[in-house]
Amino acid sequence: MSSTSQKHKEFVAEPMGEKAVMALAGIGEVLGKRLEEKGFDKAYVVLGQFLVLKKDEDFFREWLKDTCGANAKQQFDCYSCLKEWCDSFL
Amino acid sequence: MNFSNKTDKEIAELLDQYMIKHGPVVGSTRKLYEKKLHEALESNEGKKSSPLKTIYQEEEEEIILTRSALRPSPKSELYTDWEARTTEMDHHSAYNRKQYSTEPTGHSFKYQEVLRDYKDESQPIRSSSATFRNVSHSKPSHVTAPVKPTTIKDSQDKRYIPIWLQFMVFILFAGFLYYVFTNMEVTPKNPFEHIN
Repeated sequence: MSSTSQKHKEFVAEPMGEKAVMALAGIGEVLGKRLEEKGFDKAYVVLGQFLVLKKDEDFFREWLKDTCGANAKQQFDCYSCLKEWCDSFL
Repeated sequence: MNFSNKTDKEIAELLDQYMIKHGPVVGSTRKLYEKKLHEALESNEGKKSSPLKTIYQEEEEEIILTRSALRPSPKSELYTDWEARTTEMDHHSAYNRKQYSTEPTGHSFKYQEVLRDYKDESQPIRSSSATFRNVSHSKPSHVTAPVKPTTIKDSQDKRYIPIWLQFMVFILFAGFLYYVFTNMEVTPKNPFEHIN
């Protein structure tokens, strides 16, 4: 049984390029909208934030919670998606 | 304390002071780091309580830390901790209240064990059965114990069922079982009776 979603697999399979923020695992319509309103309109901007927080899980998850109200699972999904992407492409 | 009038550099220095490892303090991270500093300040203020309380909390933390390191820790260390507390114990009539633990159940077993090892006095080792019973319910949560010392104090003062009552119930139950057992007389029948 796979523990990562289809969205996660698709995201980490290739460079993110200009993908929308809703392409990130854990980020759906609602959260995506909120992030866009705050200026994080592309996945790479969220990546930027992730990197500036030095890829720290706690900080990134807390930031995500404060910025768009993500719950624990969504935080985790987004974090692990970005982390894996970085491991492959950064 | 308001951090919004501090420069990014000052925020970074404050984070270092509080031993919070962090990234660059930029526009998007500033708010998060200010929040972390607020939390750090509040947790520091929480530790500065009244002197008596502080001593009590420190003792609790000490006991919990020594308990968590019970297995590998050297005996002498435990003995000195225990000795320091025996003088206090004399003042307390109810010994069970001095069991510093998040759960009075699982922890009391280990503490009793220490007692037996180091003291052969007439301290009542209470409800040995209860302690064995309680071990099965113990959960490892000593990691969270030092963070909230005040809640430990609250939970250990209230024993929902007093220890003597538990002991009495056990004695009654054991007595009942014994009574039933002795009354079950088996009439020795010859299993090889010849069937006419």
